[in-house]
Formats: sequence, C-alpha cells, structure tokens
Amino acid sequence: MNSLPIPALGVAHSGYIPAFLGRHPDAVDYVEVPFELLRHDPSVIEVAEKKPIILHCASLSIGGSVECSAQTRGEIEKWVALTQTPWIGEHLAFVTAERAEAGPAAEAYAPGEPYNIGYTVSPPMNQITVERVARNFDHYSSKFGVPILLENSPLYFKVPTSTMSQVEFINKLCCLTSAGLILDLAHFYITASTFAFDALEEIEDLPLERVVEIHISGVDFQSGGMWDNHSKPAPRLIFELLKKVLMRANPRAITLEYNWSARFPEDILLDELSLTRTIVASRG
Amino acid sequence: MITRGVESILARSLLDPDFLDALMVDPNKSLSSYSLDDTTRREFLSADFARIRAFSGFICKVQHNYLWESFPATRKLLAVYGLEIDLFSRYRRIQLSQKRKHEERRESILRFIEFLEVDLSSKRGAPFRLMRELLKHERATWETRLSLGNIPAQTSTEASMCELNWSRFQRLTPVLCGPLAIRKFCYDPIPLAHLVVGDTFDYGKLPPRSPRILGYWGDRTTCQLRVLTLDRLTAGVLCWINGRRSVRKVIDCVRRSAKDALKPRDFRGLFEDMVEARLLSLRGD
Repeated sequence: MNSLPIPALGVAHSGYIPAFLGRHPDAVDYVEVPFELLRHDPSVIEVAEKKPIILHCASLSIGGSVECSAQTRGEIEKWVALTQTPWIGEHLAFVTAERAEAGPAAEAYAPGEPYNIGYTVSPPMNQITVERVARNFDHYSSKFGVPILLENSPLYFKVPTSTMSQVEFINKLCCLTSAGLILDLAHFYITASTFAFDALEEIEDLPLERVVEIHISGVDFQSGGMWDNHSKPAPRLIFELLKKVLMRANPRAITLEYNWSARFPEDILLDELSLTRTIVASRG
Repeated sequence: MITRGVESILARSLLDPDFLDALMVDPNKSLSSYSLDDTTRREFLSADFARIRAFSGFICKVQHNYLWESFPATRKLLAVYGLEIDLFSRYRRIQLSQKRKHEERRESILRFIEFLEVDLSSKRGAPFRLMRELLKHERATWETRLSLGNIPAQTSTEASMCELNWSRFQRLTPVLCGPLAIRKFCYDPIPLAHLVVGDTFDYGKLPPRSPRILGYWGDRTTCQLRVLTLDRLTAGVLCWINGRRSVRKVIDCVRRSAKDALKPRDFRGLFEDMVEARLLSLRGD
C-alpha cells in the first residue's frame, strides 16, 4: 500500500471482481475484503495476487459492551498478517449485545451466548457510549499491529437514550482517541435523511482531517425511508459530498463498495471510478 | 441511563419477532420486566418500532444478497418496485426460526422462493404478473442447474431403434437424459430477464403476451442448461416420461389427457426426434 497513489482507488470484493480485475487490471489500486468473507472462504485471498488488500471488519462490535471473542480476535490477527493490510476498517457499531441485560423474559436464544445480530447496528449516541467506544478503541488498537479506522454507521432511527447527533458523537470520539475515520458517504446521506438535516452542510462539521478512507455506494428509498444499498449506483449527491470532503480531507483511499450483487454493471463501475478520479484530480 | 440495556433490547427486537410485535402493541407492558430508569423507559415508549421492524427486514434483505446470483431478475424487480423491505420484514420471522438449524444454502434459497411464490400469488397487477413469470423462469433454471450434477448415468439408446417394428418400439422405455423442468409462461421470460437485469426494461409498458411452454433441460452431454421451446404435444409427452413407463404407456397417457386425435404411430417420429436431440434415450425391454 505504501507505493500506491494518494488517494488510492479501490473496490470492495464481490464475486465479479476477480474477472473485472482480469479485464481491467489498471482500473483500481486495491481491493477491500471483509474479514468475515475471508473467514468463510479463505480462497478469496487469491485476489492479493492481483492487488493489495485492505481488510474490512464487522466483528469487533466496537460500539458495544460485549468483548469480541479471543478466537475471532485471533482470526482477525491472522488475516491482518496474511493480507498485509495497512489498517482495519471497523464499523462504529455493535453486533453483539448482552442477553442478561435483556430481562427475565428474554428469548431462549443461544443460551449462555450474547445476542448476535449478524449485522452492524449503531449504538445510542450519548456520552456513555462515546467513552465506551473510546475505551474499546484503545483496547483493540493495541491488539493488531495496524491502526483501526472507525466507520460512521447509517442511522435508520433515533436509538433510545441518544442525546447527541452522530456528528457530535464522532467529534467527541476524536477528542478522546487518535482514531482515524472511514467516512461512508452513503451512510452519512442516510443519516441526514433520517434526521432531516442537510448532508452537504452538516458534513463540514465532521472532523474531516481524520478521514483516512472514504466509501462510496448507493442508497434506495423503500417503506418510507432511505436504506444502504451496495447494489445500486451512487446518487449524484454522493459525488457532491465527495467534492466537498476532498476540499479539507486528504484520504489515503477511496473505496467503491458494490459488493451486494454478484452482477453489478461493469460499465457503471468504470464510470464511477472515472468520475472519482476526475473529482480527485480536480481538487488541485 | 443503562446503555447496555438499550443495546440488549434493540438486539432482542431485531432477533425476536414476537418481542418486537409485543413492543409495537404495548411497549409499556413489554418493557415492564426490564430495570430501566425513567428516561430510558420514556425514550423506548416513544421509539419508532415500525422503523425498527423495517430495519430488521433490511438486515434480512442484506443477508439474502446471495439470491442475486441465481435470481437476479427477481431481486431486481423486488428492488425496482420497492418491495424488498416490506417483503423481507415479513419473511424475517421464518428466516430467524430456521437460523439455528444451520441449513444448507440451497435449503435457505428454496424456503425463501416458496415464501415469495405464495406471497406473489395473492397479488394482482402487471408488476406482480411479471415477477411471477420471472421467478418461475429463474427457479426452473436454478433447480435444473442444481440437478444437473446429481443425475446418474443413463443407458444409451439401442443402436438399432429405427429397425425395430412398431410393436417392439412401443415396449421400449423412454428415459430423460438429464433433469428436465417444463413450465408454461404468458410471456417469453428469457428476453424479459435480460432486459430487467440489464436495466433496459421499460417498466411503463409490459410486452404483449406471448404464451409458450419452455423445457429447462440439463443436457448431460455438455453439462449445460438448455432452454427448449416446446409445442404442447412434446411437452405433454415429456411430462409423462418417468423412466418406468413404456412408449406405449406414455402415448396412452398423452392421448387420454390431451384432445389431439393423433394416432399412436404418429408419436414415433416425435420420440425419434427427441432421441436424436439426446433429450431421451430408449431402453430395451
């Protein structure tokens, strides 16, 4: 990664990516690969023969109160070494939660085990959570030998006991830690839609100088709300946000995350890569 | 404020549909057993549980991204018509009830597809008609491809078939050379699926009806799926072939069920054509 341009341009791994890289070897600089995918299918690491890998992760549950198991930490450590990733991207979210806290009538779900949602969920945005995430961040940062970057989660509803906006939360977190950030522009747009604020205006209030990686993907509107969608092209606003962020931020990597459909249209991916390069080049 | 409790309640509401339903009906009662402070309880009482339910459906949707591989047109239509969140919210209960059984991917796919078929069967209107057609096409394609690898070797056709007299020919047993699924359509699903997946379908205008019968054949000689357009008689004959019925029995069945006035001997050419196309083999008696 050290020899790559800044910012480097990458794509998230999906079934179509190896063939895409075969047809367009110079289209991207790296491939983002989720730890959970490598854990499930170790052969995915073969993509490293073509491009450097950046490891992404949704297992640390850094926004929660249940510690990630030693086994999972050990496996992440193994894949950090094997992929030679420059950092681990992790969601500012929780995946597991204590079952004992859920009261006496809790479902007899995996007795003795914490709840495992299998998907990242934003914790309440309040001072207690900020402090806990900061402690978790410091704790895990000493484990892997590479930095952990924290990614803004999309907020789909106001989590009870939240007392601050996500932007305030991230600012406070950055005061308490040295964390670098992944700024997912689609997630930010979704949060703006949920809480009815102007994404283009509010993004200025993020600590953009901490942004190390940027994510680009799509969104859609269904059932009265906006949702993350890694199988749809990014709307124009995402690129407007990118332009704005690049006026202040100096990210090392920009990842196009179209990894939910095995059939994302190649021409659209190429167009978006080209547009991203143009925006990067035009910032001067 | 008990933040850990908040996360536990949220996690439970995303994993336990009964609990979430109870929260939506009477949050006060559902939370009565939790030791929450007043602020936390008040915040939960005014929480947007409908949105949390939709989020649970969204998680379910994302956890079914693998459907894009074999059911791209179906997934695309669900997305285009904005049906995914609602559909997967309703499917979430079934998904979670099966999750602990560690079922195979093909079982998970089948379970969802059957749910979707039932769901679509009760809906009226052109978008749902289109979805039913493409789902039928993609399911037949998927199932035939899956079956292609599980077919035992078949005996080859008697070399001297054309020399057989009619009486002996009728005693032969036709055996399909590979899996075959026969489906009826109101539209030709193949170009439609291409247009939908390629984002070039005009959603404002459904194509004119074009009824047809398609045979999804897992061709053993090439190990490829072949989709055949079948006439009614051929489809009728193929439907009755089960690897045990003789030619005579198959012809009897077709003649009884169809209104074609074909004489039994008229079927011989059809059988011979299917043998030549390697769709069938004929076992000796």
